[in-house]
Amino acid sequence: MAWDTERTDINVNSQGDVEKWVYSTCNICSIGCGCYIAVNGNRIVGIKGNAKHPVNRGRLGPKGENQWHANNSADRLLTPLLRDSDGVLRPVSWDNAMEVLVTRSRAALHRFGSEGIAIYSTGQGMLEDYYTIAKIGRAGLRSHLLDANTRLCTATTEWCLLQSFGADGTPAGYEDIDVTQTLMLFGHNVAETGTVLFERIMARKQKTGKPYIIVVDPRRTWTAQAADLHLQILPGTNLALLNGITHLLLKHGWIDRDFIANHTVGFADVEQAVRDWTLERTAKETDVPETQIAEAARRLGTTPSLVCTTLQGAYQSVDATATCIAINNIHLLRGLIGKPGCGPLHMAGQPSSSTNRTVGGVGSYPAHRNPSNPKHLQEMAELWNVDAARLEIGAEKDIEYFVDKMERGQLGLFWNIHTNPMVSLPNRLRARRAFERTFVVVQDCFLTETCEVADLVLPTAMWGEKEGLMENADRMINVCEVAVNPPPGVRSDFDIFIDYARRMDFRDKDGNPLIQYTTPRECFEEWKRVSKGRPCDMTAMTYEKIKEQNGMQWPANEAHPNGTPRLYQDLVFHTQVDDAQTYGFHMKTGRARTRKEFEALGANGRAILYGLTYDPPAEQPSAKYPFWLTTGRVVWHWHTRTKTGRAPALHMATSQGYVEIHPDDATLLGILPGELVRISSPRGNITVPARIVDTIRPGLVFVPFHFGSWQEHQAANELTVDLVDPISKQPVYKQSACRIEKVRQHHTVAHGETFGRIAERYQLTPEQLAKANRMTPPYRPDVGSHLEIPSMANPVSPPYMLYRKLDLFPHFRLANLDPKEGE
Amino acid sequence: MDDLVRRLLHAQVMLVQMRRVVSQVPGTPSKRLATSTREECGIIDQILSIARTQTPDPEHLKERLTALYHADATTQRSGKEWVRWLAWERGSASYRERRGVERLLHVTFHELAACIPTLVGLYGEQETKYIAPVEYRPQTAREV
Ligand code: SF4
Repeated sequence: MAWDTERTDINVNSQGDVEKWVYSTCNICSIGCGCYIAVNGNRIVGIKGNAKHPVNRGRLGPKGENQWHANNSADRLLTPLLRDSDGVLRPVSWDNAMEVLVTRSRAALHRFGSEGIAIYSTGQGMLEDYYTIAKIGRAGLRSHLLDANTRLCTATTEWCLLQSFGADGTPAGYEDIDVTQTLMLFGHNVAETGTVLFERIMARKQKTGKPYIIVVDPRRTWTAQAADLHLQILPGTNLALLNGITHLLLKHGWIDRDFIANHTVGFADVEQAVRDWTLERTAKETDVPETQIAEAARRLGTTPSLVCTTLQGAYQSVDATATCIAINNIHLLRGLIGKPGCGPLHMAGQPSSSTNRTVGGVGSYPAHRNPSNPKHLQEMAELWNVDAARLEIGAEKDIEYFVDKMERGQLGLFWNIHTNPMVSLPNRLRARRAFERTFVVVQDCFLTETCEVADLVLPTAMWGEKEGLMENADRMINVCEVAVNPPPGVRSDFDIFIDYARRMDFRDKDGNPLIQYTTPRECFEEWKRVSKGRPCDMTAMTYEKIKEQNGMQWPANEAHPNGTPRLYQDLVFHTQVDDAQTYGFHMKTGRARTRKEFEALGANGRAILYGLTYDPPAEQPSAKYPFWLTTGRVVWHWHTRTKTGRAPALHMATSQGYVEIHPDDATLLGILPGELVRISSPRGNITVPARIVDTIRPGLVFVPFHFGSWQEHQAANELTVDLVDPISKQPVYKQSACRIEKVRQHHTVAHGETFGRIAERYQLTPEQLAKANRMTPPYRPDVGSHLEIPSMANPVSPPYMLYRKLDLFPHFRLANLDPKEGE
Repeated sequence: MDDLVRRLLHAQVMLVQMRRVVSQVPGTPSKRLATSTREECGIIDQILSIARTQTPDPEHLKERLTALYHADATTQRSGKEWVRWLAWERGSASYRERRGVERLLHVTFHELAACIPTLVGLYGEQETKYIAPVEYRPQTAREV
């Protein structure tokens, strides 16, 4: 177990004793912390960490321990809503709502065929929901149009694993982080996105000095501040850096030739691709000092054990899949995989996004089956007792494909489940125009920004009000139990799907109902049969056993009855042609490979190395838009704040959007701390207060993407490019170009007005007013002269580490490896 | 088969024109689209040379046709991205180029979609599903 000590974090607000504590799992991020929900009188009144859970030993992060407030929020949706002919959403009965859904579904199928309906789900649901979506979508609707907000979050995880190892499933787990000598966090700000994992890493670091931590990030995040080596890279140059590092590994012979010969194919392609990536060229391209690159390569090349994690800084950047494959390449070149402390750990974002991929609600067919392999389709047809001809063939479709179809008026119904695309999709104004051309169903607990374009809204039960399983980022299946009944008027997602399947009268080939299970537990039993013999085999799991063990990692079968903490210990990869989850994509063109092309690789159980070509971001700063724009998260909020925005402590901590600007840029533009500025890109503009921080690179600005209200005009995704990675189809949120402008009023100085009075009138300090006008004391503007008046806000976001007494606080210094900096 | 050859030749002309237009504009989207069109043209050449043999190998032909449809799916996607990107980069001044590429994409897509009946004739409906992604195949109304 990673933690030496337990620490049970509790956040309870109850009049009286807690009646019961109900076993559950945090439903915010993918770390997968175990917890108990506090209940008093059928009301959730708090949460505490599960001290016995191996992931967190009782700890919770700020989002996790405040998530329950949303359950009690006064603005929960309690009845279905249907948009009437006046364009107003009005309450309707469930029966009415479901009939509308069914009628509209039939109309869409009648008009457009199986391509007429798209389901866009989530990474926050339960395994049983996702599996049912997969079955309804593929065997009922016979559609390929199943995607989820996981596309925005972890599609790259999936595709880099498929390309390198033949199947999904991250090779290393948290236990490997606990023992590794070197940890590279690549575009992974774990201190803010996965706070408990960060504590876990730092607990060991403080005690033992290990692991050596390398962070790659254009911002000096809290994670970067805790690193031994921070490579503050130029936006969009991830792959350039990794090509340069790989060049050095080869040049110095820091590779395991036996491993490469016995367990990989494609080495010659790597050699060829990195030949010209000299240290000088890499430094020039990435703007990282040569000494730092060389040190990173030396560490990666000589460490006896290595875990590399990736998250959105890699996934939401240009060359996303190629970047993550380059990381897989490093592990393979060094033979550092499948043994303790070794392996790539490509993270997930949401609490159950990996689950959705595993069971086929998104991505390929359930249990890692290849949608282009007739053998796998036949297996699915037999498992579901349907004709194989009924199952759609070929690679999955993604949300950008849906938006394109909507734009062309080619989609009859868009079913949106627990996600808020009107805040989270890139270039959201384009997305909105597209959504307005389709019948949109929103299934959610709250009136989100997406309800603005909804025609039908279905209110749902939340975490703590429904039963199910979730898979976290290291393949661990965890249980969520029912703590309280959902409020009257709402239904669980699972119930909605079962009802929909019944009303649509989906049948198998014997004429029996396609879906015969009626509870999540029955559904899980069916799923286990589907998973049998596949990489994610769960046949040895039961709800009881998972709970007893506080989580189980797949595969869990006869050979591994208690689960598998680490994949590929036998160094046999899923690259036999009839085992593989996909035939993959050509890295150079982004084109799907044929079966014959996959066979021609000759992998047959060996991992696949790729030579990778660096392409700079499509959009780059220009004369008109001179800054890089990057977007991301803050520690206090999750995604579009549907839940965290309803927790008082989290809302108060950061209640509005902002932009981070480097002091040099702020000085050049004459922007004051807290001043409202307009950020524009070729797609739109927003107005947010400026935070002036030296943790960001000059020339780069950062806007958190959580704030998307239609009224407040702070949505980062009004600015972002809607271009995607050619393999994973994940949007490139991290690299757009933008311009910053001051939003100032003008004041003409009148007779008798003092400078102080003018400042006071606009709620400014004299210093602020003087600074805004670049004045020096004494401040005596002439009568009739014009003063610029900035609008101020307070965008301060407190660091969470001060939130409570902690076991530790990171205070490691960045290794100062640049002689120029040292001088 | 003649119809297939004729349509593929026409699609190839469209792709060459597209490459000519995008090569005028430096940038990653142009490079991606040019790479994709180049690959697609190459695959068409391979198909044409198989088709011109006295007894074309149906399995080899099928495999290359599968590659072709997937290459075009990539071209279509890259092409649409290129059109959006150029509008941001060059604004209304790029209208003609964007419209031109949109038209070329459209014609290429429809030529490939129009080959589907030939493929169904050669390989049957089920096998054709493995060759051509769903968007190229005619969708029939479904009653449920
Ligand atoms: S780290 Fe993630 S899973 Fe753990 S408590 Fe925080 S939000 Fe929940």
